[in-house]
Amino acid sequence: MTDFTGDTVSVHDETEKIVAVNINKIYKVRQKDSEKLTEFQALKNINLTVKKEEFLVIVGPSGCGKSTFLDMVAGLAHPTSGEIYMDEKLITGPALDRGIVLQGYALFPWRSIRKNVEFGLEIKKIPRKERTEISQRFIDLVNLHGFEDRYPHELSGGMKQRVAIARALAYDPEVLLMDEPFAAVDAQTRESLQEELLRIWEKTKKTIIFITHSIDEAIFLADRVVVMSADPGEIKETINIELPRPRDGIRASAEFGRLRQKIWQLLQNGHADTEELRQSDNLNDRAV
Amino acid sequence: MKQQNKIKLENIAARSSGILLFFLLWELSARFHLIDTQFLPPISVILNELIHLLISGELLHNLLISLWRIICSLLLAAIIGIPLGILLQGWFPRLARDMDSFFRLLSHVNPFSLSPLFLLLFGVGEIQKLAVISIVALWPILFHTITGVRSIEPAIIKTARSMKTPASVMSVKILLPAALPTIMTGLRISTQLSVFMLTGVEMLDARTGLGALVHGSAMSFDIPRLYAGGVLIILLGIALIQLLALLEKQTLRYEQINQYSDAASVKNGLHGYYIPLIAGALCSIIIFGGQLVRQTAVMPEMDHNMVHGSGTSHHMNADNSAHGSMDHHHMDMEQNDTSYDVMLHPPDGGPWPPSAAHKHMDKADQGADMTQKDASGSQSDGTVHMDTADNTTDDGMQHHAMHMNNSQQTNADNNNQGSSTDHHQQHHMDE
Ligand SMILES: Nc1ncnc2c1ncn2[C@@H]1O[C@H](COP(=O)(O)OP(=O)(O)OP(=O)(O)O)[C@@H](O)[C@H]1O
Ligand SMILES: [Mg+2]
Repeated sequence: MTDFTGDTVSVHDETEKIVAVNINKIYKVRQKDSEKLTEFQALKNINLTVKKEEFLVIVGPSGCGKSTFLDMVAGLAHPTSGEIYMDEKLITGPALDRGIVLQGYALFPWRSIRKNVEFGLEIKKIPRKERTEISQRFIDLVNLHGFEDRYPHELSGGMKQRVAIARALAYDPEVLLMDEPFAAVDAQTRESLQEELLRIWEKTKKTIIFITHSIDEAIFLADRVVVMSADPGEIKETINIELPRPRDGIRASAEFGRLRQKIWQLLQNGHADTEELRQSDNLNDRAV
Repeated sequence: MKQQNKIKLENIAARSSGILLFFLLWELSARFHLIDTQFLPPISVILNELIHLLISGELLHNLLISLWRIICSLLLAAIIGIPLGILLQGWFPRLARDMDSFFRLLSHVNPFSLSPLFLLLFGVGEIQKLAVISIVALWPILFHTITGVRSIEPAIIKTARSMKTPASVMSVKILLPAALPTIMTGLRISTQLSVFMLTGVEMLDARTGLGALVHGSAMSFDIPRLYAGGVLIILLGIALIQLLALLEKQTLRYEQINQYSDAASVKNGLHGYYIPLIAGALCSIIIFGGQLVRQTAVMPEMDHNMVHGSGTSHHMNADNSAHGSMDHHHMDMEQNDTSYDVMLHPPDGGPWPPSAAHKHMDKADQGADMTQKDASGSQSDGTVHMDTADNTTDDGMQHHAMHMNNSQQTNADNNNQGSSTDHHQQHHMDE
């Protein structure tokens, strides 16, 4: 794994969509007492391959660097070392081939639902008539027909999240990056959103990287679940989810329970580790 | 709908009841001589003066010029402040932070205290006036733009950036609308400040505008006129703020709709008309006001005394063509101001001085001390009269005659209606 260099990318598998190679991210943080900058390793040696049309879910304790990683794939942040490739091309910045959906919806409150969905299309300079057609198609896809001229604040949390998804899909990116998109909605809405997302994914054939804190959500959605640990952020294990699709009612199955148990344990261990680390850190602080 | 209107009316009545009561008490205390009417005339007298100013056209003339100055200065401040704020905070946030204290310092600079510098930089004239107002109006707009951009939800910017939004689109379609609520607050503060500044600027060295009207009235001790001008300035401030509120409601509709819930759908249809209306009004003020300002600025010195304030623009056009352009000098401004206002207000022009009012209203219970005041009032009027006479000996005679004709006309009209004002006037003229 460690001698995985740029050269190997040329013997690239057709099915590989995104390849992250030896990603490290170090933040320089100012300690509150001293002027000195100390280094904080948010991500350490991340190697990850996402296949074409794969649904990949990342879980991990808070602060393990999930969002940091996703931002890098989106091109919004740069790794301190290492590279991320998409279709063999190095990712250097954001582009319309990747769409992002964030936890806080991040809808543009001054734009109607339709205009929100059309934003990426405006950037793409698609003419108005075509724009309206496309946005209508995606508004219908996320079941928001009839809400086109409403403003974001007039929608429920679940509806807003669907708008955010439609907005990211409308400009037809190949990869959809979702950072805890369903965290702010109630359990029932969440389950229906998950089913809807699977339906959209099957229909649109996107590659999806999805971050969540919910183990159930991860298993229900994923082809593969990446479990991370914190301090420093590392990939602890990757678990293939070989549950049959469609997955309606799968939550009650024995296999689902087994996977849930496994991931839960992995996360528990991670937590225990970080807990210990934190405590020793505190001790060190006191000693100094 | 009707029900709503009724509720709205009741609301307005309830909210303005305090002011109405204040006016009533003011009127009563003036009528019963609880206050010194020479310095605080009854509200009715001031209203009367306002109506008079309106009829004579002076009000519109000066109002338009003041409005032009304010709107141009505000536009200038906004055109500089908003893009600068967006640029700084959007692309150079660290620079924006570092510059903050420097900007704060600059914002405390009072252009009046630096008037020599402004004279040097911008000379005397409209540019300097606009600069003085703009420089004060700039800071609230700039600060609020910076704050507004800074407090945009990071996820919104992140989302926009993820689409590789070009800088221009980012500024205009993301940062500007996202920061707009805060920018509008800044704009409101700036509007208020510019009304203050305008008054000051016009009092210092302008012959036109509401501030000049007030200043001129003070110089000629025309107290009701002074108050009338003061009231107008307040009304101007309020009107501008209301206009902005309307604009805010329109542009930030998305934020407010849920406050009215269903009623909003009815209101939306109405709202749509405001923006073109406001835009049309603004454009007319800028164009026509600019015309007026230009005409007054190139007015020849001598006629200046005669013509100012007579208000109608064709009148002034005639002057322009007759005498060509000539700039007036800064030094004899004061004197000009005085005489101009004398002209605006020939002794037969209004229900003031108090002598007239008193004689008419309170013939029976007139006190001895009152008569004394009346005498002084008439005295000042007398000197004013002399001034006028002096000026008319020049070649401005014709205009003067015209002016007199006009006012006599008005008087005649008023007489026909038989309003109490004319009795005063008649009374005074007889004197
Ligand atoms: N700009 C920054 N400067 C310094 N440290 C940062 C910065 N951004 C993130 N970090 C640190 O990097 C680590 C990873 O952050 P990140 O947001 O990726 O976590 P996460 O896994 O998404 O957590 P969560 O599940 O709570 O969203 C955190 O410990 C955080 O404190
Ligand atoms: Mg996160």
